[in-house]
Amino acid sequence: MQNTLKFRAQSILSALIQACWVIVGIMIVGTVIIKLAAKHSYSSAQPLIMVGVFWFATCILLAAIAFSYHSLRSQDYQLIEINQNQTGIWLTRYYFRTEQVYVPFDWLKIVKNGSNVHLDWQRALRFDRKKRPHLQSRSGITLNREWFDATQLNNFLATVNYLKNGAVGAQPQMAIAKQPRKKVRKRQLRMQLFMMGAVLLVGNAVAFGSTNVKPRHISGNDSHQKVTLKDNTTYRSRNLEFKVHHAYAAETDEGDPVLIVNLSVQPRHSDTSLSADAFEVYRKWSDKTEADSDDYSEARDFIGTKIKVGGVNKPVMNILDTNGWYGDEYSEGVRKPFNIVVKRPKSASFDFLYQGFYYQYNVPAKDDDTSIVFHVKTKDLEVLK
Amino acid sequence: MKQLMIILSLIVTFMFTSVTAQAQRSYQFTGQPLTLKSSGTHLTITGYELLKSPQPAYDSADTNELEQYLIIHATVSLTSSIDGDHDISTDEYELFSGPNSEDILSKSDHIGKLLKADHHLLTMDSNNVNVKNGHSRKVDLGFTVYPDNVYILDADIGYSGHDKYVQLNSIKSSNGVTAE
Repeated sequence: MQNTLKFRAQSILSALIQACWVIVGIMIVGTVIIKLAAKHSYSSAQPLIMVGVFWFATCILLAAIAFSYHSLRSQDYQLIEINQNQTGIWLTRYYFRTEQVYVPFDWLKIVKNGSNVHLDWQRALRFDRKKRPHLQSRSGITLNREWFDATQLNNFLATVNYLKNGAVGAQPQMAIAKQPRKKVRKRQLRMQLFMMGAVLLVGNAVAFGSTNVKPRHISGNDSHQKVTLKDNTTYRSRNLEFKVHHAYAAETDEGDPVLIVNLSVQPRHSDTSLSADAFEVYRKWSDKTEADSDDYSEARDFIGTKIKVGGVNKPVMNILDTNGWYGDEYSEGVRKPFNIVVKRPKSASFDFLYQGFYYQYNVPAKDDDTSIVFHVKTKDLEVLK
Repeated sequence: MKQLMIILSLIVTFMFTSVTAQAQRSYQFTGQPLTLKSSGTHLTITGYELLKSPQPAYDSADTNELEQYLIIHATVSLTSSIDGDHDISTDEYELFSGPNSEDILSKSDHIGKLLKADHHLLTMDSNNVNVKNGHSRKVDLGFTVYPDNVYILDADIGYSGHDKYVQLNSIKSSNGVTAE
């Protein structure tokens, strides 16, 4: 005779792991969405508070799941037990608080349906926390076979059926259930938890982004980020975020080859500034060439530049000048794509420098920006002609 | 399950409110008078012009001496329902010529006499212009700008701290570099 029905620990565990993965996913995706939504806010406190509230909500969710799991485990995963007088079943519900329901056999109906078993009852007695009974009207639960050991479930249903019919005739034959392997489960759980923690940490670090983590630069070379110039790509220095929309190769009406970078800039702190003085081209950038001011050309004198497009000389619009903007002048309403024009060598590749600080000082001071060296392959530039 | 749904819907609601919290305060000037309102002080932009001459004096950032004067014609009016008056200050206005920030013209730029007699050019070092409640005042805002740029006026009317942005012109361009 099988008097109790227990959940398969393995099923509960994998469901728990699945639920936790979903929440980890929700946390990362939610963080990304909040960051995107708060992208234009100037203070760094706003997204921090929003992410904080969001994480608090997901933590409540996690705690609820953990609490349910804990009470389930402390009851040895038991869902249904036949009472001692064999007149009905005790059903335990594990939500925020555990609740017991007593259903006499007379009121119980069992319907098997494919992978599900439905237990329906006309009436039942629900016992609250203080063990006070309440009459519950027509209700029921659905047991999915996935959640139970098949042998155990069949044994239990056979027992209930036997007792329901007044325990007449021979006792039903009980099949012997296999014992699950416990050791493998524990190792698997530990692995999953470890991976979850890693994904949560890395994912949220990436999602929350470098906007709140100031990169630390120690030696001279670390203060120069080396990247390849690409269209539709975002680059970050300590103080600014550059979104390069297009990088063009063009020729001026005077026959000089130029690089035109169409980009927009977002300050990462209010204490920043930008002007054309910060942009230079090197045949090949190195610490030494920058320290010696051995640049090929500078972006400072190109206002009014005309380029040949479709056989017509057209002026380049919205070029950054050497005054540019400073600090809080540059608010969200004026942040639009603009252009930087600089003479380029005719070689197959060269370097375009954003000079965040004067390299002569070797290491950027605490308030200085960091520099970015954009490596440019001439064949990768879009051609304007 | 019910608790899960409640928490999830709370999270979703929270996200949507945070997305819509980013209000837009940007306007496009189309040639029709455009009125910006800020706690009883109204700024109506009626037009703007780029002067071919005179040209601004040489500035170090303008090596090719391409700068021109941009004059914005506007009216500042105060509703009669608010108390007192308002000093129109040069600090309320700033212009972006492409990516470059420009301050309002100063008295030494000497272009006041070229403008229509009933307009008052706001300059950096002159006395502020006063408007009483229920009255209006025509003003001209002057800036130096480069040609071929998008001009955006940043107006913090009455220092409310809520800047309003008016894009004066628009340039059609498929590449972001040259006009069509």
